Amino acid sequence: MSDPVRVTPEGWEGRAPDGWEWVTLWDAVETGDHIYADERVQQAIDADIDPRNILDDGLFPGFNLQAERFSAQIIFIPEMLITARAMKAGLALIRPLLAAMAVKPAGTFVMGTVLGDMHDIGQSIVTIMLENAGFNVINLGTDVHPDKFIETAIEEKADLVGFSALLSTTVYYQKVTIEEFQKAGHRDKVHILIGGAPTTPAWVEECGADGWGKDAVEAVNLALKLVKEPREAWA
Amino acid sequence: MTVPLDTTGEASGVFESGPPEIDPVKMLRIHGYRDMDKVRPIIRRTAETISKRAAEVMAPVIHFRRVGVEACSGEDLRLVNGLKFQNAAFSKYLSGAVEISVVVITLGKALDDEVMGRMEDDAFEPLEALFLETAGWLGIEWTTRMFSVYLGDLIKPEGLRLTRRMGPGYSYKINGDETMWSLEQQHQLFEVFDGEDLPVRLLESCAMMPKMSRSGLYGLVPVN
Repeated sequence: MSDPVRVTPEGWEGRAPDGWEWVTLWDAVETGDHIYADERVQQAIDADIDPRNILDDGLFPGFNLQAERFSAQIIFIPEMLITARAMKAGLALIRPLLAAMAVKPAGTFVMGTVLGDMHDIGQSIVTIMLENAGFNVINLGTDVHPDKFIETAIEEKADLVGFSALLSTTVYYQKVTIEEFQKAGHRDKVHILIGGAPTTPAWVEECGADGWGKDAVEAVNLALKLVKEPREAWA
Repeated sequence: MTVPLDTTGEASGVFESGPPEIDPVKMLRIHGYRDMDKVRPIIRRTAETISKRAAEVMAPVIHFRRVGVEACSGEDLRLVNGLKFQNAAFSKYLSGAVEISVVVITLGKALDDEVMGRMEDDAFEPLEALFLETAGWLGIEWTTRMFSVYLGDLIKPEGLRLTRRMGPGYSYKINGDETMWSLEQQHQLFEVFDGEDLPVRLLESCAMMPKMSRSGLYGLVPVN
């Protein structure tokens, strides 16, 4: 497979001061230089560039390129993680500014590993990627009881809920948790995604989830798609 | 650190393997890298650093207990102490076992803490966290292998050999079909230790703390 090409945001020059360049930030995010990413985003803030443009024009090109490479298996999780760290460094500076401008997150996502399963790193990686994509993520950690998922979804008026499982036995709790959402009358208020080593597209059908991400990038793309789809409103 | 099977049909011991050997190249291979010359220097360096750090913080300990088998047929494994396990794979995988040795393996809490610490916002190092967890998997495998050799050597003079290790939460093949040993039977497995002070805590959900822990049992089968 050929190496994907970085997509330059159309018309970015018109959204930045004269003489501004983003290429060094694109490179920094791509290569995982979080120190430079932090510095350059601060310079962009100081130059009064709209935080939304810093995100879209400055941070996303390098991140999206690496995400495409990851999906094509040209790079692996370690490269994706150092890119995510650089992205997070920049986002940490602009997130308060976006909040002050009342820029809504892409959606609210409640994430956790199901009951009986202590595996953490996979869902943590998905959490990082979702946050980088603009989601407000509430990560409940590991060994999460179905009731805790439901309580949090209600409290946060979640758009999406994600259940991770790494064991062939605990994957059953993805189905149990979905059934509990159904019994509680909240199943149609959230889109439910599942993931983890033993999960498959066939299991999505069987357990009643709305989607499956084979990796973190696919999970984020699916979340971005599902969050736009209609569902029952929270009271 | 163990004693032979006593007249009540049970014996227990603790095995400490010492620090595991963690190969950074194996860590990288697990994550998909085939040609080490093409791995970016920062990733390779991190793997090397973390493999050493992981070995320092891991403190592998194995508690084990030998118990006589009363019967192993069909789906039932009945022990002389009255405890029972159910799985269709027992009759195949534990065939001929006169005893079992139940094991609880852990690398200790310090490794969990290191992983979690590197995911905190103020010290966010996700690559290091990932490699620490990978090192943990390799550490558990290494420790399990060391224990298998130790236990095998221990029982050899008694004319016994080990079967493969089995554990709740794992799948086994029987005549081409997969059968799952229910994770809920972790509770019975821990009961075999009869209140012994273990370094691993079993949660109500059947998950174990510390996270980098493993449980299971081996069959002890007469060589002849």
